[in-house]
Amino acid sequence: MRPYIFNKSNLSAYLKQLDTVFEVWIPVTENGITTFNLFNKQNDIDLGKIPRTSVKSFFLPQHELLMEYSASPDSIQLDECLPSKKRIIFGVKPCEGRAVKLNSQLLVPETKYQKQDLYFKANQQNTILIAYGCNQPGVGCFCRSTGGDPFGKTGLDAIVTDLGDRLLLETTGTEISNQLIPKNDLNEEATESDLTAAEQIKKNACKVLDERSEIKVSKENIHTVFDLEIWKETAMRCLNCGICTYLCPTCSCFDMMDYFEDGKGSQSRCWDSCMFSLFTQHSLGHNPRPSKKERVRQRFLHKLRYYPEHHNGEISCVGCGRCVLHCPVNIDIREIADRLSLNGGERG
Amino acid sequence: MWQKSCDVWFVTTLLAADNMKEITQAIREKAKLLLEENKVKGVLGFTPGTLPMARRPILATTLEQAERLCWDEFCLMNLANFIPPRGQERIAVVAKGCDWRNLIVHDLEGRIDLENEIEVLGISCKGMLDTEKINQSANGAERVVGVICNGDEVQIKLVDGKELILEKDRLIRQACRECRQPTPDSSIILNNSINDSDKQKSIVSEHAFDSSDFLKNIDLLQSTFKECLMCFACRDACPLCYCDSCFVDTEKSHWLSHSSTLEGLLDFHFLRAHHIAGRCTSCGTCESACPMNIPVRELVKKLNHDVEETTGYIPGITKDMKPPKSIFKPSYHEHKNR
Repeated sequence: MRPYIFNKSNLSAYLKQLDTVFEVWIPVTENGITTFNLFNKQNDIDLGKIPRTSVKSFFLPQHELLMEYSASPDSIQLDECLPSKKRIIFGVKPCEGRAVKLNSQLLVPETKYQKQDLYFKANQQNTILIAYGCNQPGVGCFCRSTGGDPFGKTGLDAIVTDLGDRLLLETTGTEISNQLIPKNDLNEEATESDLTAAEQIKKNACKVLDERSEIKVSKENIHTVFDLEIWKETAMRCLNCGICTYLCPTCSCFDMMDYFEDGKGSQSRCWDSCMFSLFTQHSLGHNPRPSKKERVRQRFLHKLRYYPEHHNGEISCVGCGRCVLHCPVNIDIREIADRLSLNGGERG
Repeated sequence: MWQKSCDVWFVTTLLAADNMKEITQAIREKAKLLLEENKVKGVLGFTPGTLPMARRPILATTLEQAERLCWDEFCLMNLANFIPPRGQERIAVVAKGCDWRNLIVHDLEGRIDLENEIEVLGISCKGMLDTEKINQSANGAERVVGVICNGDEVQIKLVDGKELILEKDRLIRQACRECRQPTPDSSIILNNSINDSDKQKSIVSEHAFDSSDFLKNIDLLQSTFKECLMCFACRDACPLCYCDSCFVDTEKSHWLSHSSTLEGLLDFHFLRAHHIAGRCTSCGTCESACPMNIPVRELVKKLNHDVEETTGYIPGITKDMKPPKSIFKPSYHEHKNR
């Protein structure tokens, strides 16, 4: 099946077509910060930027109600608040599709011995991702180093390539992607020359990333090195805030919360961060990660070492660069990965 | 060895104007001297990072590290936040006006021993730049590959090869515009002091939070804080948030729900604002750290102003009295009026 092509000025018409069937979310810039907002006539779509918060919020919301219940001496009524709304997120970055896949491997494992996270699963089933390819990778980007691609299709339902005045829409063959095909006068197949142009754009983007990045982050190179000087150095300036973990599309730790009052209760969960001291605080007072050093080390070793050990060598980072761009003290995962792999190399 | 291969990330390191180069040189020389003479264990300063506008705090303990210290318009973090509590070995710290004011508060509160344990390398500061503003002008933080400050202009190199030229004055951080003491009172000042005689007057901005009934304006609060992620970067970057056990991090007596519901995040911002009211030096590091560009400081400003009106105490500038809230008694107000 050939990709579809339409004029950029028709984007809004295409989104309206989608809007008749699904709830459509688009990146919108407000007060200088780009986040995903509901599509409506008032807001302008702002493609191309890396949204400040990642698409993770749609799969593992920062605050998610899991169940509500009411209890009396003779009965309990339970309402599982499973999400059911079908929605499209338009204009995500291709790396975020990979992030959803990585999180899915962790939260919705397919082996029958492991439990599945039903809420994540439901969100995944209800959320359609249409990416906007990265013609011009940003300064913090390093997706090629993590096994991704600026036009990669993993985890996505469709991807849009910007040809300047026109947009090339390619569906990825997922079950629902048939419903994303433009209708009526927007339904026009791309020509051979359009495809060549798109191919050139993809090549250029990859070239930029490959030229810039020498670091190949890989499982083989990274040894679990606990006593390296780098942890002390990094911890010295690390604020132990949650920016890196909260902006990260693959960080998926959460905390559970229970409320109960007057016979009615609810259980919900919210994001948690391995950067916080409370994260590993035991109820008896002991904390296995008592200082910044242990917490910083955990974050990087989890991404670069522990996760790949359990998931066929894939690291738990997609190279979106959010943590790199927004860390107030410039803790750079590329530099850490680089130092780790070299140390591994030295050790043999 | 790692550094060599990492050079590739150090896209633009020091592209500061001449004045800043001189300060950088002065810091390096002074730092090396102090280390060589064994007068300090380390020098706390900034070093270039892996992005054009990233400057990272570093405790330089070797001559080699001292040679990598730098100074320019992007030294945004407050170094007082990185000073170990009293009773440790003597260190030197590079301090602009706001770092100095926080050292004063730390000293008054007994956290550090400014006279005996800290050597201050003061810098008279003309204001740091708001990186978020630069990012917005560049249409995204990811698009900035280089920044050169040249006199009154800031030249920004973009990822697509284009260049932007912005007026430097418009990029200065809001907190720096309102700064009341850009030059430390320390014995060492490494550059020519700028004239700041008219700075010490109280500044009340025109932000809506300054009106006394802003609490009633729930829409304003909601629109200001709705994007807050509860990442606590404002608290963690704040030099005055140094409690061993913050109300955020207590579990037995769960003061704060970490859910990002509006109630949860307003709880956090109100509690924190009250905790630093009358202590906050308005250094603006909370706003620089915030990933969502929230004007966190505004909430404290009004409270700070009230404390100053009532007690005459200006955090970081008043040196001869304890912070009013640490010696507060219900009769305080009457006592002062007597």
